[in-house]
Amino acid sequence: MSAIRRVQQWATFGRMWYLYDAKWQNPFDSADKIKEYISGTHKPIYHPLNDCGDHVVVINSRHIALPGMEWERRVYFHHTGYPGGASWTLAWELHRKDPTLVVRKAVYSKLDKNLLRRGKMARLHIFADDEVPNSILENLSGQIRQLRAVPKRLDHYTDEEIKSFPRIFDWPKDYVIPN
Amino acid sequence: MVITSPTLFARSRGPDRFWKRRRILALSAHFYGRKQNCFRVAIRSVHRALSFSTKARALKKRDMRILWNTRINAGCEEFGLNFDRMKIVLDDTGVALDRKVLQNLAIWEPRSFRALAMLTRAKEAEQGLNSLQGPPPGVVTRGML
Amino acid sequence: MSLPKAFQLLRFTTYVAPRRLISATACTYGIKSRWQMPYRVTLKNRMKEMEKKGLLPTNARSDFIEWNYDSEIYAFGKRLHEEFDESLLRQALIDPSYITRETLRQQELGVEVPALQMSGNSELSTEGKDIIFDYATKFVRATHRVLPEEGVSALVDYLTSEELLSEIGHGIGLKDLILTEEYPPSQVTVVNAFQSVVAVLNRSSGLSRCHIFVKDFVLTQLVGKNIYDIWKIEDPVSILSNILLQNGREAFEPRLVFQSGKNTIQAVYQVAVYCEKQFMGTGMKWYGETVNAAVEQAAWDALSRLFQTTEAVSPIPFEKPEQLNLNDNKNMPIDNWSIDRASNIVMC
Repeated sequence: MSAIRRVQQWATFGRMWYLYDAKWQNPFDSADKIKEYISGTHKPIYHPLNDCGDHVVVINSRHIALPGMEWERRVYFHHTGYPGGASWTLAWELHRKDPTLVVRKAVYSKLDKNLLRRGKMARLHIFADDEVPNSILENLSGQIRQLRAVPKRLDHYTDEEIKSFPRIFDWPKDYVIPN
Repeated sequence: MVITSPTLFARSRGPDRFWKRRRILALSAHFYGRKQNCFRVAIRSVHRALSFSTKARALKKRDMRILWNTRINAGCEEFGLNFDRMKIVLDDTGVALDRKVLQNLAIWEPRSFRALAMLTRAKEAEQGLNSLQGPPPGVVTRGML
Repeated sequence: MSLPKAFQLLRFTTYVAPRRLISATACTYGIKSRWQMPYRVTLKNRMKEMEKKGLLPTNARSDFIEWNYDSEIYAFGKRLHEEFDESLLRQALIDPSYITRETLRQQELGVEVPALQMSGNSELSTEGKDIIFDYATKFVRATHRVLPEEGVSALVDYLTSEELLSEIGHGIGLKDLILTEEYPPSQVTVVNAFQSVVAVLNRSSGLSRCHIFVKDFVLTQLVGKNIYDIWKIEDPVSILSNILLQNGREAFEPRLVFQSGKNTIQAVYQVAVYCEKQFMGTGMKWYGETVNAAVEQAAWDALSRLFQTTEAVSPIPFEKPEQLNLNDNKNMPIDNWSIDRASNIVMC
């Protein structure tokens, strides 16, 4: 192989490392996005047998936002294999045990069910907070856009910002605002 | 066994049991174990294999189509598009490229594919769809002239 | 041909198809009689034995009885759509070794002074070689104006190499037409014959027709080839810095423009070469290789951009050779390669 072809080959199949901030994101919708990157379907050279997936580093998995009543309604089933070994864990319980597991299971279940699944999961690195070891941070070369912008809570605004915020009407002078 | 001509292969049907069986065993030559050489076992697996291959001829077309769609979508995503949108514009503008060609362009000729993506964006902007910024630079449409 | 008489007869009987794996052919399965299989196995074993003893005939087409050399010579020109002078063409296809062998054979038969009315193709071969070399050099220079003279000569060496010319000779069917001592003819013999055919075409149809022939058969071999596979640049870094120095530019500056997976075994680093803040070329390296390797790649890429031999350049205009400016002017040598002069050269 000539030098130019060798370089081209390496440039085509070199692995990218993407950062994904899961803060206030729906983990199940995010899993659809992450799945594309770790299995390589975001590249035109994709083929099921072509090992072209990238790495994804998910941070802030502790701060994911499940839609609706999912924290209480979503149930994770596990069976030890022994009689009476079945167990049902609610999403909030699982999240309390290990804050990375909801994201991990979401991605795992979205991937194709075949022998390549474990290998693809090995390319997913999930961290509960934004503290990532330096050895992984150095690998990063790209970022996946968040599905939706993180909303700003009222208590994140300063008092001045709140005061200067345009009002539609003024309260009557004698009106008592209940706290 | 090399079957160079279907005529000769068909001619081997006949009363002679040896040649009749050779005909089946030729098809099982690459099987594993007794399926390869024992006629009683081979005939069953050959029939099974042939019925699979009949079905696979249709499945292959479907699989390829799914793969091409995935690849084209991957190419489109780089330009903030998807294939559903691009398809409509290509139809409207008379760009008669099928999926096979489009995925080839996406892999081997990214610049050509980019031109098609820009065409999609420009056409959509012209129709007032999916665009707040207006058409991308470098595309001239009939409406502009 | 010193084959036994019996075998010569055997060759024209029904079932001796030389070097054919009988048991594997389709016709085996089309035949229903039980006796045919053992019969064929016997024949096959016999053939193997003969092969071991060296009794098998050559595959020379001329060994068969219906071989007609005259019509083959006639068809050769027609096939190529060229008008050859027939006697010259015959001469071009005679290797000197054939004359020697024929003389010896006649002496063996008792002819005292063998009178052979034939001469070999050595003279024609030299003439043809010069024609090919001249035209190839001019053509490559005209199509690669900016490429250094060293690159041009490497390309021409490749085009006139023995391997390539003999392959072309085989391609136009010289193998069976050449009269020579050995069969199949050696590479050199085929090359000589091919060069002689070119010379004959020059004498019969003129130089311009001959040039078209050379262009169609020899020069088109450059299609799809990477120049730097043929012309190996040993030390691109020093060549690039030398060129920049010659042209009074600053020394180039390698920069790391992209990296991914730094701490992994599949790390990717991309290095680009800049000169006076202008991008010149880019290259990659990967984990385990030194930084110098990446710089070398980038320098090499910068050179191919300077010499206008990237993959993006338009293909060689074979269909319009008359538009090319063929002359004897040499290209710039690599030691004295000027960026400004190169930018003034307009490629057509």
